Amino acid sequence: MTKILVIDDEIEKLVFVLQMLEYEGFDILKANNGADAVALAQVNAPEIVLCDVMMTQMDGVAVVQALRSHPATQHIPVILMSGMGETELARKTMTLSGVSYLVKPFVIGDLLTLIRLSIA
Amino acid sequence: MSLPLRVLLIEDEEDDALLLRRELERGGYILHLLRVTTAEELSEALDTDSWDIILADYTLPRFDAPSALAMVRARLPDIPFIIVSGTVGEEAVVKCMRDGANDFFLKGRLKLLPLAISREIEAAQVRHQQQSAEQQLRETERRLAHLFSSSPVPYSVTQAHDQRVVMVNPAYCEMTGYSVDEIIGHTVAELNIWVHAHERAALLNALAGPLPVRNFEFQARRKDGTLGDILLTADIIDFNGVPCVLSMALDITERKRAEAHDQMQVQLLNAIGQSVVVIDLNGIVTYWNRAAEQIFGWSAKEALGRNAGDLIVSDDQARHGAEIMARLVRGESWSGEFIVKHRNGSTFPAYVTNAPLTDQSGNLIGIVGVSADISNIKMYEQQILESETLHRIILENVSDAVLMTDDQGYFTFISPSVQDVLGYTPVEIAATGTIQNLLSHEAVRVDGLTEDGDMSTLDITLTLKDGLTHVLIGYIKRVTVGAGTLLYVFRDVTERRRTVEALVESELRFRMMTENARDLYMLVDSKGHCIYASPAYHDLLGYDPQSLVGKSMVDLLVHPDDSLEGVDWRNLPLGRNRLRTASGDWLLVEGYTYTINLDDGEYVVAVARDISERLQLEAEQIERERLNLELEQQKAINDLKGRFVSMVSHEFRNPLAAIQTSSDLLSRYIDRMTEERRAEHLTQIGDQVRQLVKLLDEVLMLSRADSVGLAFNPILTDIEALCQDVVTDVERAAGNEGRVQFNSAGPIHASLDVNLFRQALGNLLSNALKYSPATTRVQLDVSSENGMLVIQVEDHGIGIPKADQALLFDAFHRASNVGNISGTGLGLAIVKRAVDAHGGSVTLCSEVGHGTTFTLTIPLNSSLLDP
Repeated sequence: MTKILVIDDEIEKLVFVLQMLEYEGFDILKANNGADAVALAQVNAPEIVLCDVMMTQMDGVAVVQALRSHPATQHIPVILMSGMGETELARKTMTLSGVSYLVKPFVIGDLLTLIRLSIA
Repeated sequence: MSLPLRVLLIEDEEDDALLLRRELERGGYILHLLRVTTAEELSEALDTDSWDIILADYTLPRFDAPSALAMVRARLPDIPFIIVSGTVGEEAVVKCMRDGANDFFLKGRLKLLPLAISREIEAAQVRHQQQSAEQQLRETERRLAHLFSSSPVPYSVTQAHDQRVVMVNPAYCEMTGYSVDEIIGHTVAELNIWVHAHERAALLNALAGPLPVRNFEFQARRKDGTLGDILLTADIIDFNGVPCVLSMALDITERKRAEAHDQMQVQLLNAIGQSVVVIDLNGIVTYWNRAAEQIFGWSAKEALGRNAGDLIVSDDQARHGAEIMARLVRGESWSGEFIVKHRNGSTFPAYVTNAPLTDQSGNLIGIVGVSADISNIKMYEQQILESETLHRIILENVSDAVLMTDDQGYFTFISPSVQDVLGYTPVEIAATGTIQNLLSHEAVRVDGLTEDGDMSTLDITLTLKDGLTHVLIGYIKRVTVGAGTLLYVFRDVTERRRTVEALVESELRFRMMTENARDLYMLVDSKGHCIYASPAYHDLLGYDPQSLVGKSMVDLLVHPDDSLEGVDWRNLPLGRNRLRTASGDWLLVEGYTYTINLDDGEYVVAVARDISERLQLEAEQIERERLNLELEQQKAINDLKGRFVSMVSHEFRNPLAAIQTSSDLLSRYIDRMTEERRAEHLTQIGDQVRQLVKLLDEVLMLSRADSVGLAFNPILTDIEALCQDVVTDVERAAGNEGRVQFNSAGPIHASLDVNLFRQALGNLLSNALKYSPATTRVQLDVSSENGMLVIQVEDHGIGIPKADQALLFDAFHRASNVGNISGTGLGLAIVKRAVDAHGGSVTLCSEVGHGTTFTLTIPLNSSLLDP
């Protein structure tokens, strides 16, 4: 089972994403803040991370940087989800390796394709 | 017109010369134009050719207008000289005008030059004519003076009160043997001319009488002591205001001697110029000398044997002749003037002396008549009398100072009028001795005056007795009168010169000012007639300014609709008026008038300015502002479009993405889904579609409201029930059941459009729920007062920043503090339009961080509204 870590401070809004991941047979780990997520990743070593960019305490970019700073997590591919207009953060992610970017609202088919490409 | 014009142009710039030539040719002249650039060329041109006008640039590389002017004026005092220059100082122009330039023009402003040239040439012609008239007068005077001096008849002028001689002619000197110097200032008695005291007494007695003295015969003594017989004609004349005796003396010594001669010697009379005719007692000619042949035209042969009366007595003198004859027959002599006739029928005056002839025994045998043709003498006499009268009148009436000197400059005559002109009495002048002492040596240039009548002019500046500097003009003329040889005539022109200069200067300044201005200046007399119009009248209105002079300006220029009736046209305040152009169009000007008081009365100055350019600028400004406004509007529309696109991308994408997601999940995993989850997704799809439809409805409603207006169908409604219904709907849609606290003042019925009201209240309530924490309550108060339904929606939410409040009801406008809360920006726009449709109003009261209260005020009976 492929382990996926989903990070969002309003994780309940991702109900349909989680349904899709569930139906696709992922082993889903959930975190509603960056710090928990980074700790969770170090312990469980997920194959992929799905992370919201706009979060109140630690934003998606900071999460990626934290992951990259630990050997155990530094190679984990990350998919960042961003709302419309959050272009400044989007631009920052361009310099990070192993990060894909998805603008909300997206159709779940697109997300699935991106996940498969990332872990291939 | 096509007039030939000979122009001498002093100009170094070939181009300027071409421009000037074109301007003059355009002015209708056919030019003979010679361009010179140096003093040498100018001098040669003046020597070798004649010119109508001289035009001069002010500054040339090796020459300049003042020098050229001086050269030209020295040779041709009257030729028009106009300065045409690019840049020249006012002072320099004034100086040139003083020194005799006739006009000046700025290069580039030459349109009026042809006019000025024709004016100057005309003026020069007038000057020339005046001068030739003066010349003729002087010529006449000179001739009279010549007649006086060259007359063979001796004459003298003697002061009546002391008999001192003041004037004699050369013939008089010749007759008496004295020189002029010896005679002038002396009396005849002093010169010992009188031989018989009784004759002198008789003459003085005759002169005291009322009649002129004619043919007074007396014996006189010459300088050499010899005696002679004189026939005198004398008149009292006024000479320089002094009564004088003008005497014409005829030396009849010879004639008297001849009378005394033996008749046998009569033939000797052939040698003299007088006719000698002897007749017998029957009047038959017995002797006819050679002079008689000449005077009467009959040869001796023809005359002898014929009746003398028939031959020589003019018809109307026949009776007189008979009377004389009768006296002669009685043995008396007769002499006097007698009109005789020539063979050809013409008559002429003769001085005739008749005497009886007797034989040895004393018997009368005939009569001898001696006649001299005195028609020439009569003429001289008349002329001399006229000349004297002329002199007298001139001396009495002119205020000029008249002086005479001899060749050394010593005064021989000083007119009383010198005191008026020079301030010095004649005695004071005489005390200075010579004219050179009185004036200056430079001023007295008499070298060229060698012959009688020669004249030179004077123009001198002199400090006179009053200590002031005076400008005198006049002339010096060689005229020999007694000891005097040079006549000086002066006139004080200081005042005139000063006035002329001041006038020229002030005129120049005025012209410099007005002629360089683009404004219209006009000086008008109190009757509205133009006195002066500035060149701008040509440039702006097309009139020749000169042609406006004397015309009524109101009739000519003012538009009939701009009636000046009842208005003080002399003091018009600044305002707009139309002026008629030469071509009959109308020019809009801004101007005013004001009065000025000059010595000779009130004048009106009219100043106006062409404002067509300014109006155009104003129009352009308005157009620019209009374009700016349009641009603003276009920008606002673009902003609106941008906001609409932004709203659509947010508000349509989210529900569409949700629908897509649900439908994706359903299609992929429907077989693995529970029944419950399938229903969930289907509900989700349905909700989102409704949301989209609502959004579209709102957009369409706004669009319709802005284009054709909202459909407005008021019906009587139970407000309390309607509001409760809306509250329930909104709470359900927001998932916030029970948050709205609804307070109603009681049952209220109002006539309103239910759909619009639902939308308005619904939007206010859903906003209140959306923009306030879920833990806070939203309050809805409904009441009525003064025929108005009042609805208040109060929340305790994020509030609306002041900056956004004004724009809040614009479509797609959302407050800056909405953050992630989604919204279309249409809700309040719809509220506003719905309330407007009811003739009501919407107001808000809000504070950021504390909450917002919206108040709707709607007439209870909106159906009364005119839809």
